[in-house]
Amino acid sequence: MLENRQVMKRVLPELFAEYLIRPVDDYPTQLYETLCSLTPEAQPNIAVLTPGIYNSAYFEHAYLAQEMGALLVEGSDLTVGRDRKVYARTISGLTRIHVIYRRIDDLFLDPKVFRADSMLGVPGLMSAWQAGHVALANAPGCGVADDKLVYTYVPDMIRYYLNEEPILANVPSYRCNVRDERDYVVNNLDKLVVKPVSESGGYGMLIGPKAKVKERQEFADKIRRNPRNFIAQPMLSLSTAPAVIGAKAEPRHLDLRPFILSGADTAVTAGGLTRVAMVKGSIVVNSSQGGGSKDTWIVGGTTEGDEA
Amino acid sequence: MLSRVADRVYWLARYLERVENTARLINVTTDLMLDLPTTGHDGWSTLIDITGSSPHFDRADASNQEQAVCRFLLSDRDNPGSLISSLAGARENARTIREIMPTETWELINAAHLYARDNLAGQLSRSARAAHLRRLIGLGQQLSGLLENSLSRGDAYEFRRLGSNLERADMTTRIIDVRAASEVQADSPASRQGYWRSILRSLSADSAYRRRMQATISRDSVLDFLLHDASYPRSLEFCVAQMGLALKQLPRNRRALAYCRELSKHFSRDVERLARDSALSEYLDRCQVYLGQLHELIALTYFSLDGHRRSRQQQ
Repeated sequence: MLENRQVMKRVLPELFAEYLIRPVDDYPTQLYETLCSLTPEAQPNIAVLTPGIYNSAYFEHAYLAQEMGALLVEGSDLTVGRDRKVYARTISGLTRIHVIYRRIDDLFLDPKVFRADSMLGVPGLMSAWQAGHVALANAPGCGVADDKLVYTYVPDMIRYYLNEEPILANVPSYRCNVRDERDYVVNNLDKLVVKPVSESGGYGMLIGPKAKVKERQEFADKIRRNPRNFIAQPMLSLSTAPAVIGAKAEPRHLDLRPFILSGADTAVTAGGLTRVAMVKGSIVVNSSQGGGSKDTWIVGGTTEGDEA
Repeated sequence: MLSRVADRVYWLARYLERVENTARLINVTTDLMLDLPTTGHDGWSTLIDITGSSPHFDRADASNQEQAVCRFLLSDRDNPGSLISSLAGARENARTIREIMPTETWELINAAHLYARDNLAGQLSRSARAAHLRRLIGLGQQLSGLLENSLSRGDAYEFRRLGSNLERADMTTRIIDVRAASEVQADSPASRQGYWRSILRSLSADSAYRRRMQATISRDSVLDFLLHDASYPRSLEFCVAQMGLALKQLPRNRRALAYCRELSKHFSRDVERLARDSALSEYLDRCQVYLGQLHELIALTYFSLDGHRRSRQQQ
């Protein structure tokens, strides 16, 4: 996101002068403030916990740490004392760490609690967290929100917790663990896309309208055997935007990833990562499968007013 | 600074220094051998002793001593002290600390590694070998210049200074030690002088020596220069002083600094008292032991993951 913006500024500076494009480079500052808000400490020591240089996002980890003035640590750089506090091993001795922005998965966080073979984690980290001596962002267990079944309850959550109606509607979704909805799904597989709730990256999906009869029958069996594992949605047509392909512009499908930081306050970055499927007709935007990305503008109205 | 990062900066500097020293040493030995009678000296095998890698070297294999020694010291990956192993070590350390080094560091180290890999393997003619090694020394100096001119003065700079000066001091003592032992076996004053000149040249010290000592090359004056000259960057005195300056900038330096001062005292012994070769050899051995202990102390204070225990110092 940040690099896309830098390139655009270099290539098309006139556009930026003409439109009021909101800046995105305050993201590291917002992240820093969000992390600080997680601890009562006035001058907290913050660490970015990375799996290390072989991780595909290592560059981003290093960049964020640098921009925030945080320590970039690997699991072996941290230790949990008998006092259940977290320390970094530095040349000045053990240095207390108050907040960890962790970029390793739950299962690898603490070999004493989760996977015992984890070389990436910090033994005793969960105990320190439990004792309230260190803040972890994201908190362990946040991954539950990735469960696609949880997604179907978001409108209800908004009504319950905020007492408001959702502004953006959900994609209509059918819960296969609810009998009526399951029956509808099984009987209308030719119109629906069925997704396993815990997968990502487009794996294990059935795209009903494009599937063969036999595939649909097999999937119906799968759903009946383990209904909790599936949701279904009508087939969506993703928006397109022009992309430069060779020497001309062609439409390509894309989606938008917003960045939202939620601590004491909630900050929505005035931009985001727009992912583009570079293959004609494809809706697979994942960068691991050759997807591209685009700079994304939030255009801030007129010069007067609208200062927010 | 994280202990892990400090550790890697320190070793990066040591490996780079070692690469340069090894390349230099081989080029100078090549020249020296051409000036000496073909019999009556240890020749190439002294290099194995200088680099302290004799446990890994298979002497029985040496039908062509020069080729065998050079292959072992340059391109043998099973020899942890070989030039290619040192470069691989430097590269491995640099890879993990790219974000704290000037941007070009990684590219240069990578380039040097690829160059050594592609050019040092196999049989090499003397002239090709010398040219490749000069190129590698050049790349090493480019790196030193880059770090000197673009690395911010801070913890990383000081650990680099510690690493390169420790390695350099160690190499200086080794070169003197083994070459001096060979010198005893030389039969003519001319070849004896050749030995001492080769010592100076392996340390790039010949012109500095002449300006400073304004004397013909003799054992005592060369020793005095290489051990005690306070202005020549490869003398023991200078290297230890640099380590002291680096340590002064670092936290928790009390013990290591005290040790550095001890070392300086030991080095400052009169050259006259080293007149006997056995005394010199003993003296240099002890220097190496002290340097090794200084390394241990630095590692224990700053790198060792278990050395910290409960020191509880806040940054």
